[in-house]
Amino acid sequence: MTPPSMVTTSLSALKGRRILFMNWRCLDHPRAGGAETFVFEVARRFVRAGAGVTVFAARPRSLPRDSTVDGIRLVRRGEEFSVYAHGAMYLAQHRGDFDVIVDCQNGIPFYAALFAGSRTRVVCVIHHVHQQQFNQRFGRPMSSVGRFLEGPASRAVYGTRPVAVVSPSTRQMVRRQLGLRGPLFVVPNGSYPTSSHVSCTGPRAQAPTIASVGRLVPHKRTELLIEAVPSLLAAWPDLRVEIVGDGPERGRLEALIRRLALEETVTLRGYVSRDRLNAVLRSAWISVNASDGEGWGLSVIEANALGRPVVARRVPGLRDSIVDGVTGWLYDGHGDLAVAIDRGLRVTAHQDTAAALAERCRSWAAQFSWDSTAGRLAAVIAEELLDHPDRRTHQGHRSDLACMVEFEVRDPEHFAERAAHVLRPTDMWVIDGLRVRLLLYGCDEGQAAHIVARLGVTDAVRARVATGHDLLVPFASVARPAGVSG
Amino acid sequence: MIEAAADPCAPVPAGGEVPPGPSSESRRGGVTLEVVIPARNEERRLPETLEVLCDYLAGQSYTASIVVVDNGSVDRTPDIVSGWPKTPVNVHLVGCSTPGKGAAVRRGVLTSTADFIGFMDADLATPVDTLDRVMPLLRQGNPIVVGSRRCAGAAYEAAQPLTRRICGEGFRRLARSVVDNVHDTQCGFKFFRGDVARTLFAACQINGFAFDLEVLAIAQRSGCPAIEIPVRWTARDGSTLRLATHGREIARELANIRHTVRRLDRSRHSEMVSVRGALAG
Repeated sequence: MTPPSMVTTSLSALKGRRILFMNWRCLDHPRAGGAETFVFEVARRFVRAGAGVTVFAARPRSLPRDSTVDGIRLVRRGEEFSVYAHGAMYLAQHRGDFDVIVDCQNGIPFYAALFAGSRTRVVCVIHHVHQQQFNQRFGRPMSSVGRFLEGPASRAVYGTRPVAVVSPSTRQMVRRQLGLRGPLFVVPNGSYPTSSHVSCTGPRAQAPTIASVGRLVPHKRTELLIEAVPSLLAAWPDLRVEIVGDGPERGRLEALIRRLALEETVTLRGYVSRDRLNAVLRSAWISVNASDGEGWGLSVIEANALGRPVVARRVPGLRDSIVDGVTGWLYDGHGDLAVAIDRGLRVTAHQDTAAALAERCRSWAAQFSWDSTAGRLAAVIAEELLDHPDRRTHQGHRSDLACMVEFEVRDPEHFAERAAHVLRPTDMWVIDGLRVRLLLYGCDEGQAAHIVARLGVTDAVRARVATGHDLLVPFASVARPAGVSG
Repeated sequence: MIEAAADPCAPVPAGGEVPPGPSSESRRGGVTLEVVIPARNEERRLPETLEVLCDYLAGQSYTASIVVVDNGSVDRTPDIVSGWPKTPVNVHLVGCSTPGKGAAVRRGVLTSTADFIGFMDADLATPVDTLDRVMPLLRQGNPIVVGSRRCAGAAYEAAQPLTRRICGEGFRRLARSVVDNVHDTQCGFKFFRGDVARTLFAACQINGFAFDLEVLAIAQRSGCPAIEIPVRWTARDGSTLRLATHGREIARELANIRHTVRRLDRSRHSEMVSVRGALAG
């Protein structure tokens, strides 16, 4: 529900600008995922806004070095790890060719701030903090190197440059685990199946059905779902579990299914087409995500868009993408998974409750559009492109506090004009009749009052400290039942 | 003076001054006691503290509320406070963008209209039932009651780490030169008569850890006695005090306080007169 006026303002600031995205992989890469979708959905919208967009990514053997897709110039160099050296070289050779570099950090950053010259404007995009995953994936010396590159090295190189994060959880980890010093802005992902081109209403299966979508990698903990099935069969004898996705864990999961004799109940679908995935989600009563942590949880929103609530553990990312008790259910310990699934199935067993829940899920998913993502990232870039970007951080006195302010104006048009002068590009606002709602980054209620006074508004101003939910969807109308936030 | 540079987008006097406007004082009704809890990234420790404190305050004969001052958290601290279930004891959330415990406590105190105001740490290092002894003393007319780990009857539930003890001793020696009527100036548990708190904190400028000392130094020079009561103090994990990063800052704050104190001792500074006048009245 980002107001169109605000999005277009920020996007129009990019007109004629030369923007370089640096991302590990491109969208045609065999292992492209959510991060690649983010880059290309945003890049396409930047091109439409009149910006010159180049994307630098690794080059799988099958793809050309240079090509152009949808007006986006693609530069592919290097392989899985050598892409970083090629990236550094490319940046050094093209100094001054770009107005701003969007450095997408996926564990290891490109250090654009180092190689592109200190005068180049750089905006970081961080989906997920990998400090813990380095240990799972690499051995002893390499994991330490990885942690150093992502943490202290990034902190030194990026200084106080702005960072766009996809969720309040990632925001917390970027500040507290990585220790980056720049101002942090939440720029959430959009969601793939927008209601316009996918039929959102479809009959679900007669038998109680659970869907689980995600790559089969260790930290997604798909085995916990399979292990929970035997205890569920007592109450739900005709239970079906559909697992979509592929990955290195597949062999182990197949063995587990055989060992628990669940071949009749659990099906591993492997990697499936988008249409097939939507069909699986529509047939399900609920979706389950047993992951130990995500940056955001794109698959949660995809299930919600089809009206399906999601059961997941209360972990970073998922606690942002699921509104507990509204669009799904969060559980705490690993042992509570079966209980949470049972509850989810019981609630959705009633057709009426399921329909009401589906409606809430769809309206939550509708909050996340790629148009809004592009607009919000454009705002961060537009602010960095100002002559004197306000980069001061919490140490340099730009606080991590944000404020939600609400007031009435007499003349909305006059207000919009003033707002364009007084507010920063990253401040977000909507006008609903005469009522204005405003999200101000980096200030408390007192400072918010001063800013609003400069907008010409003095009376009946209500200000409060913004929560993580406010930063994610500042003007969302999804009701959060009381007492679920603890 | 440690003050934030003015933000071009928000020309706000940083530090102690509370600008007029929509600060939540208008929403916070007058109660007998208001407890200020400064919090920065306290999502782990805050829920238990709020629960214990709410339970305790709900069982008292006087009305009370809690004010959590968010000092720039990136975690779920504001989510926890604003989603706190409705209880007889209201839990309010106020923001303070000026970094530092002193700035946060000052924001909480200066936005309060309560008869008695105090602050305590989010980690509950001092047991809540210490208030059993504080409230009668305040009601008898004592303007300031502070928790002390250094007077007869006080105890450390667990011994403090050696470095912390050494630094503590050093700080106390320096502190004695500005405050000599209180043995432990740094215990995060201090309660005031409302008007006294508002007057004292309005005259304070220190934003960091040494703010307690400044409050007590000004109080002493205003002829405002502080009573020390012994507390059973527990050192908690997760202290944000780091010698390497905060040592220099604290030293600078100490120097500032000594400067303020010398000024107050030397002259009848107008601000001091006003503090004394307000306290007498």
